[in-house]
Amino acid sequence: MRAIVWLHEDGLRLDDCRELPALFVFDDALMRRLGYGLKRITFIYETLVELEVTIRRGDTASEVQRFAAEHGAETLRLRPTVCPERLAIIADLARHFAIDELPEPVFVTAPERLDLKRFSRYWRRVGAQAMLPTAKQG
Amino acid sequence: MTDLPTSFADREALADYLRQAFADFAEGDAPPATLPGGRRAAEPLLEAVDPPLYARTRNHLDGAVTRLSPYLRHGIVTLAEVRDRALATSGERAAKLVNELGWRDYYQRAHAKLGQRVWEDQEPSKTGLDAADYASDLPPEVERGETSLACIDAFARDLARTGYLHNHARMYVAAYVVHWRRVRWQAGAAWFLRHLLDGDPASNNLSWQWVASTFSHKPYIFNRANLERATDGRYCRDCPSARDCPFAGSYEELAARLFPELERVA
Ligand SMILES: Cc1cc2nc3c(=O)[nH]c(=O)nc-3n(C[C@H](O)[C@H](O)[C@H](O)COP(=O)(O)OP(=O)(O)OC[C@H]3O[C@@H](n4cnc5c(N)ncnc54)[C@H](O)[C@@H]3O)c2cc1C
Repeated sequence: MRAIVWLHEDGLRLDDCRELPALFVFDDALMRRLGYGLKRITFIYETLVELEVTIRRGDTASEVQRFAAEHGAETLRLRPTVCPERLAIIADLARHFAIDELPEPVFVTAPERLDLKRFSRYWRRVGAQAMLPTAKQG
Repeated sequence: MTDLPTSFADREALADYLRQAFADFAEGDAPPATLPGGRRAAEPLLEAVDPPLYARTRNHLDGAVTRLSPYLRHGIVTLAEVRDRALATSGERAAKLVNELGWRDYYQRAHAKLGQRVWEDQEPSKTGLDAADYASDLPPEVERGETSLACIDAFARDLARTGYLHNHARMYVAAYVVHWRRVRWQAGAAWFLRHLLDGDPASNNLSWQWVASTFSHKPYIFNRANLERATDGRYCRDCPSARDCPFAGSYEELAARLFPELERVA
């Protein structure tokens, strides 16, 4: 199945998928919701120029669909995100595409029921593990 | 569909193009002096990371902090990568830096769980004050850097110009906004997100809540002596409000003034 990379600003890295067509979309409505200013746009734009990817402006989901159609792609590769707005867009795109989340290098693996009420509790569980190099993470 | 341009003579040409194309997003008229985007720009910062020096000096405003946050925030560099380099050069002496990297991982996990609720109080505040005691908007003079408090004004202007503040500057500004000005933390958090290059509702909002005490067991405050130590007194020397500094006093005195309801209960 042919794939494209949909780059978004929670993971501006190509690494393992350099050979695929990649798109970034500047979505004015979304950027307004997220409160971005020109400084941030500039930082992201400079990063994209260096990555040599296609940059477009418009509604994210429509632009991703258009770009995928241009490349005859049925799979979207993308980096993980916790941004609720972006997760909603991904859920929407998942109706049209196979979503292939690119693996992140592991900082620590989370225990089953991780208590996040205070940093100290989290760190008691994972602090020792965090001092191991990525190659030794489970 | 037309692609946006990807080739520019230099950084200035790119900035000019963006100033026009994204004019609606301009934050003000101060010429920005931001860190450059991209992996190449992050390399020298990665090379410069000195974990033992970081551990000794990170609480000072001129300390050897990494300034990697915009690159980490946008996934240009990963936490795992910074950790691995720090371990390779410094072994156990990387512990403090790894611990700070852990804060980002922690906040990301919390955000994954909370979603949009990062905008809501996680717990009741421990200030003894009611929600109604806090103003909903940021006073314009705070945002413009015109409060006559040299430290706070310098931080506000640095934020607008560079999109970066040292961790302690962020803590001071947040404490000033929430506790001294009694403004809802959400107003301050939105202001920071407009300007910070590393702006992230996870680390940002939950840090504001940590200062406000809606995500911690007590409100964070500082005093003048603490700020003078972290800044070598550079702001206080010429501060127009030096004789009337709202941050002067012991922590007990300041807490009694800022949180009078707590005194009554105690
Ligand atoms: C009110 C307030 C708002 C903040 N908003 C943000 C934000 O929007 N985005 C953001 O990334 N950080 C935020 N922080 C956390 C912290 O101030 C910055 O991550 C740090 O100052 C970035 O500078 P540095 O890269 O030189 O940090 P270093 O001290 O060199 O730390 C290395 C990396 O570890 C992580 N880190 C270190 N300290 C913290 C911390 N306390 N919380 C979370 N991550 C940390 C960052 O990714 C940072 O780049 C905020 C803190 C406060 C008090």
